[in-house]
Amino acid sequence: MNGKMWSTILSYVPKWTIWAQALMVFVVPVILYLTTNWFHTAIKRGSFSRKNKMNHSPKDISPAEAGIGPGTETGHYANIKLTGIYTTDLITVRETFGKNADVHIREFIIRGTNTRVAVMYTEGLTDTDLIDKYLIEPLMIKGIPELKQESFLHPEQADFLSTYLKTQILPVSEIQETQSLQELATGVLVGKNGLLVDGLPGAMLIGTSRLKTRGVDEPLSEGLLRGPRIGFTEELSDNTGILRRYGSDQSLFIEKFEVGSRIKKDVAIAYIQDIADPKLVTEVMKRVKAIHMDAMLESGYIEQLIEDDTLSPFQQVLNTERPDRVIGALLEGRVAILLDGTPFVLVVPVTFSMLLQSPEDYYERWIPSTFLRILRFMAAMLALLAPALYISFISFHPGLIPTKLVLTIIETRSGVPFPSLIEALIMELSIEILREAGIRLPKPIAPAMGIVGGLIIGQAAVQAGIISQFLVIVVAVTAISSFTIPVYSAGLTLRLLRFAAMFSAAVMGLYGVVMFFLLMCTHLARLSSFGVPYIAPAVPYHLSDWKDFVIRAPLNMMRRRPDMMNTTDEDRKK
Amino acid sequence: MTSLRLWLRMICALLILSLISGCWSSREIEDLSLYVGLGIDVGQETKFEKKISAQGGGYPKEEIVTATVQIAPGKSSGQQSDEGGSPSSGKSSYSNEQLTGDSLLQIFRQFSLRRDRPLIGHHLKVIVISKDIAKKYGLKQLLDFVLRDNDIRPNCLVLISHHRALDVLTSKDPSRIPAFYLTGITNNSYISNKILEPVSLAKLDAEMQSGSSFLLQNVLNADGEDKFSGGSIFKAKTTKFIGELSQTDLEALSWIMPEEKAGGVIKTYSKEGFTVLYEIKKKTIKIIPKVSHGDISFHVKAESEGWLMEDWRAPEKEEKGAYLKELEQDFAKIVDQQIDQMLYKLQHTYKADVAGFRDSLRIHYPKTWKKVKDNWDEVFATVPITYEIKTNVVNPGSSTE
Amino acid sequence: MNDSQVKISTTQAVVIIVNYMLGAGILTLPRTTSKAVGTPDVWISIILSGLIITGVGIILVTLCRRFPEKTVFQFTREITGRWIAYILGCANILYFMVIAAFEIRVMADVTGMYLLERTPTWAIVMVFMWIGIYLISGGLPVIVRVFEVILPITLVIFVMEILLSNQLFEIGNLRPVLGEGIMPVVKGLKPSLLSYTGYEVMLVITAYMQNPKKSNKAMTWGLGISTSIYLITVVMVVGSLSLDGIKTRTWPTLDLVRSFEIQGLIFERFESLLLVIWILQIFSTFAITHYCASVGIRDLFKAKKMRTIMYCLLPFIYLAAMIPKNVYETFALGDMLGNVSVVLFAILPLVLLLLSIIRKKGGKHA
Repeated sequence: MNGKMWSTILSYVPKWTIWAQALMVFVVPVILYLTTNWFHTAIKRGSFSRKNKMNHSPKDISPAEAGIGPGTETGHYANIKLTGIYTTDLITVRETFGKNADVHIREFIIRGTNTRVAVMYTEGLTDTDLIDKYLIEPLMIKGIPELKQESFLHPEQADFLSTYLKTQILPVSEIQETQSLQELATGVLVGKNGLLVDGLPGAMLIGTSRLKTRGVDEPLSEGLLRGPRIGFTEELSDNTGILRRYGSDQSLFIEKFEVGSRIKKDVAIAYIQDIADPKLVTEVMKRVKAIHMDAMLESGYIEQLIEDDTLSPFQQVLNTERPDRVIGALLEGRVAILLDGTPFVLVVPVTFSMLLQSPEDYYERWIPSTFLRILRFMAAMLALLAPALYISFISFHPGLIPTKLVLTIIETRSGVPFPSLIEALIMELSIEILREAGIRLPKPIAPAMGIVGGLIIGQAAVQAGIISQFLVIVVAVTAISSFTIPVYSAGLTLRLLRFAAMFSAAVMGLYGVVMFFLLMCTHLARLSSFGVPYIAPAVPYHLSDWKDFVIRAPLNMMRRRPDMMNTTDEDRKK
Repeated sequence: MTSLRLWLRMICALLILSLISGCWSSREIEDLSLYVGLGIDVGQETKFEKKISAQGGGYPKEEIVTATVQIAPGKSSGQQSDEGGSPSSGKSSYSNEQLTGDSLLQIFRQFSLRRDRPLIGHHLKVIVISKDIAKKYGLKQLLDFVLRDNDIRPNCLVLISHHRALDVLTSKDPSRIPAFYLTGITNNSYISNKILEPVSLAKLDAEMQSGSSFLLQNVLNADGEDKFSGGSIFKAKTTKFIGELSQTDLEALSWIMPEEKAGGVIKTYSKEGFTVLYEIKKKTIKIIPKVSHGDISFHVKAESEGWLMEDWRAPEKEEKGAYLKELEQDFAKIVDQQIDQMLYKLQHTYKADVAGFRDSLRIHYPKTWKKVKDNWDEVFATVPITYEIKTNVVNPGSSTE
Repeated sequence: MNDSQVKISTTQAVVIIVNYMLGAGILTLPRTTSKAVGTPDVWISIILSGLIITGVGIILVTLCRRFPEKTVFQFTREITGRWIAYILGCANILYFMVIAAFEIRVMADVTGMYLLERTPTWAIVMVFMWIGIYLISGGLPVIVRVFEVILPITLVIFVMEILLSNQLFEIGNLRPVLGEGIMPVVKGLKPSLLSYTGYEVMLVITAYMQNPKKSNKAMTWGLGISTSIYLITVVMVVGSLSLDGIKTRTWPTLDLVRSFEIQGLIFERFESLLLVIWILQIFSTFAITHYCASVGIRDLFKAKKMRTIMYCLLPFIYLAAMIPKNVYETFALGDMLGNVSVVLFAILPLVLLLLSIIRKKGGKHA
């Protein structure tokens, strides 16, 4: 009895291959987990090796906090003070940044006194109008009135001097005082006009740069049929101006920082005070202040340095050139980040549905808008999964295609030498190359190239027997669908993921596509952007959030702000 | 640094490994041959096979069945096969291949010794079984492989051919694939009541499992053209072929089976010998079983509404009242005759209930049904069946007197 | 990933229950019940089982409500002694692990038969398990979100597919109603119990609910939705294929969908969709059982790191999934699980509830 029982139990013990497989089941996720963790910490550290730890000495201050408080300056002329003695200061200036060929110094004397004054400006950036009329003229021509001339002769009354100049003489709106050479240098080189006055312990910075900027034209990358045709420009002041002009509300709050240690740029954070969640605002500010980089050339730098998950293919920060999109987002309780020097404004937090929405949806009526939204959704799905489904049906499950179609496919594919994966890869890669090339083509050639690329190359490839006609249709549909996505960066993500889907379909057919879909869902579910889960508003089920997700409910019914944003003021009617 | 490089190498190796060794189930579609039709005949070696086995290429088997597979699309011109069944000119859209053996699956695998494209059955549309082989072997045995196969879908149709299945699966016109137009014809059951409702594998399996006799559509073939005519009766327990019903019998059957779609015509000759035609538009049929003291009897009530569609009468007579009533009675009489004939065949000649009487007994008198379930066919042969038919002419068509 | 702070709403609890229950059972339910019942009254058995299970579920949930914020592994200790609690806890954990293994095994079998014939089982299973662990290592909120995405897709496509088969449907296959009396219906209760396993997830989930008082509602809704899905399935399968047709079909629901073709619609063949959503459902069942087993180990043995536990469970579940040598043994395993679930989750909670009332533990006395 015992022996028989023993042998039946033994027969159930799995073979050694199964044990090995069980081990692999355990080991691979552990390896993957450790690898991703290692990547994450390495990215946060800034380098792969543990030895070159960046020395964060106490002297290393975040640029946002630079210049605030004593001894906190960074830069070439750090911590040099201006003495107040005109000649010394002038020599210092001339020796330092005055050596630059495009910095000019104009000296003159204030009328009515013997005070010498020097104006420093950078050519190309100055507003000559401002200098001539409002700086030199009041000082040189009008001068100081008789009564006050006395005080000018006594250099001890330095404060009096600066106050008097500021309050009574200089009719300019932007005026700053500084005692440090560094600030003066940065100011003049950025386009302000520096004013050195004999007896004044320090210098004044007047005005701002007047570089030629372009007008507020409609952005090229986000054109709409219906909607305001304005876009942000590269000037921060213009952009904040646009926000205030088109979204005027006294609760619209704008805060400014500086980012970039070498090339300092202004960053403005805008939010509507009584709508946005205060915790969100603090978090955004915290992250922006923690940025350490020598220069922020574009808002994309900020985007990449404040996002939650660097390894994810999905963007967690939205960028847009359209003011109406930004204002709409602000009204929902989101926060906008504007960077000087780029028209692309960042909006956080971002959810998945925002990537498929376009402001036009709100300007048209609800039935056509709902239809368009659903269309866009389906197009996004198609753009992602069409080639993968093609591969899985052709190579793995011919039984799942309608019979008549199968017969045609067999006939058209008889001459093709490649398996469907290679075929699809060839076509998809060619389309991607064409697309990249098309961005850089000069304007007159671009449309022609598109037609040439699409029709002729595709047709030629079919006739050469490299690909089958069916694939051309699939690829064309995919390419066109991917253009319907309103946010360009999201389109990039989908293009990337399409290849991953193709590979998973090539290994396991329809099962591979399903697994890929699950992987995407899980990843999206784990992703959160500034505390808001990425796949809200689909989940958790908040019925009121669904009014703006796939359908677009009639405007009158969209009364509340999205639940997911934790807004302080929920009623949209106010 | 070395640990970093090691990691990276391992990861790359794993990725490449998964891609290369993957794709186990991947088979490009043009490397497969789909067979859309299957024919099962009495074993008869083809010339090709005879020559091969003369060279010593045979394998242990008995000559039980010859399987014909209809592969689509077929070979393009230039490659003719000299086996029977393939059209001989131009680019054929299908080709028939035949092999003999005693196991269907083994026969299919034999094909892989001869063709570079293995067979797959995902798109099998029709199975034609010759009545001769169905006399010897039950359908349950013949179709066992088909029912177990995971590729073949259960919506595939089953037909019986009067002579050889191979002939049915051949057509003169190379662009018409026989399997497709056979399935197309079965869809016409709504127009004509001489065709049975198509029987799919799923339904067939259900009937075979339920232990009832059943009926399958018959296909005749002459000069490369097929025609549906009549049905073949299969005995319950053995699922073997025992007899046939003609077209007219099927017509009669349509008056008894409640699920049949309405359609078809009744033709009669009027008193003066002219042809008059009645098109059935709607039928209501009720089978009323009666059990009293253990005696079972059935009463069938059928009523139909239809249009008078053709009247060869000359000179024309007014179509009113009495004339119409006369015609209605004529029609009913014809139907009566047909049903009589058919019931006689079912109850006496073949002793098989294919008309669905068992269902009505099962539903209305489950306890009695339990008792007679196991030898229903014998009991059925003794059960009296009465019927009354009523035909109403509702509409004389677009032209009237 | 601090689980103790996670709160799930009532709707989310319903979603979890429904996702757990709809799993491998859908494909085999028609056959197992019709074999036991023998008459076309299968659907009555389904409805009855649903009602019975709802009653059982409510008892279970009442038990859990007496110990707020504690999973079953934690509060059993208070009702019985330490040792019995250990044994029961281990039994629960083992049960969850075996269910996970069973589901994977069934999925691998069906996928291997209909989708990927030549792919080795280990490839199918491993990818599945890896994505599973990716999901559950995100913790309960992530699991719930993904479930909420999967469920509507499943429900819509499933109902659509089943109703598309109405061209094969014949009401006569469902008659006579109660032709042979009530006995066959009672015989059919037992096999349907296996398909109804899933309510036991509330033993673990109630601890995380925002509003434990509504757990009754959650249970009823969850069971109600699952019962209707099962009902529709059984009615359509039996009605279209007829009782005799199901006898020899291993996977009757799948065969039902394979039995019709709708010419002209994009997919002529709808079994692809059915297989896709079925795989999604199995995935959700696997994920939540794996998670519950990990929670069990953490609570029972007072371990700290959930993540390590989850990873370590993987090879054991894999081994368990590979143990049955053929399809028959897999089905036998399923039956055994059904029997165990009756003991563990129907009888035991009642006993525990009575004990806790008698010994005055929990509830007002907590």
